[in-house]
Amino acid sequence: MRVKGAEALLMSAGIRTDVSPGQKLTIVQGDVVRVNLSFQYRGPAQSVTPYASIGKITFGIFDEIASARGSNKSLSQSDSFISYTAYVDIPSSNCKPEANYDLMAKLEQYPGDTEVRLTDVIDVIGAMEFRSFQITGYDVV
Amino acid sequence: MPVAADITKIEAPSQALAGDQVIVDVSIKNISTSDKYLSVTGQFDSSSLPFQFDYLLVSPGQTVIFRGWFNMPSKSVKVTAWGWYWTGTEWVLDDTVTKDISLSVLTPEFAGFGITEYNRR
Repeated sequence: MRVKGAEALLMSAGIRTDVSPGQKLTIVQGDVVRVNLSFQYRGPAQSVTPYASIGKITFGIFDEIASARGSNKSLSQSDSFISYTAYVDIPSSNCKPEANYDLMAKLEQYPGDTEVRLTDVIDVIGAMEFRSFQITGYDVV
Repeated sequence: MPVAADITKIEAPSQALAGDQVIVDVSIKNISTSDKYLSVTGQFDSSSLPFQFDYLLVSPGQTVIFRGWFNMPSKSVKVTAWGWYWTGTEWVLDDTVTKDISLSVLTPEFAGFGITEYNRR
């Protein structure tokens, strides 16, 4: 498996690149964070839009810094619960390098029924930069 | 009071979703003392309700079931079934039953919504 440079650096530093709820994910600014969702639904057939964002919870308010919508999900008519999965890819370029970002996800049409939040689960580190790369000397060895 | 074609039971769901196939079973008993051709016809609201058989030859005291079906419309309906017997020259209406079937409306409901994993792409 070919590992990207930034991922290799994170992995070599012992930092997980895929995590379950509650665990800390460390990303490089500009990475895309995929948020996987699952839920059950019963009711009339309809289409819903998964939505997720990275941000900071302040006094109970989720201040969104980076957000995205997933592909519309078609839900079948059913009078018993059916399980579904969905995902949202959030570009993190708006996130400044900082620790302890929060994560929020919901179905856009039903925020009150579905919104979930995870606190202090994402750390963002700055994009890799090289400076002053140069030849400092050359000798016969 | 019926003299030959006695509808003893009508079985159908009391509620159904729009578009569901609703099955209606009508039990009809020959309460006369001779063999009779019995028939059941029906409708839901003002629409015709087809049955599996046009008519059946039924012995005295015997009960048979006529099965009908229709697709539930987007409203509650009243099903009416009529029981008939054949005199040899004409069909005679002998009994009537009705059953209300209410439209079942599904309310959107979510359970277990959660984030299962998040990772870098």
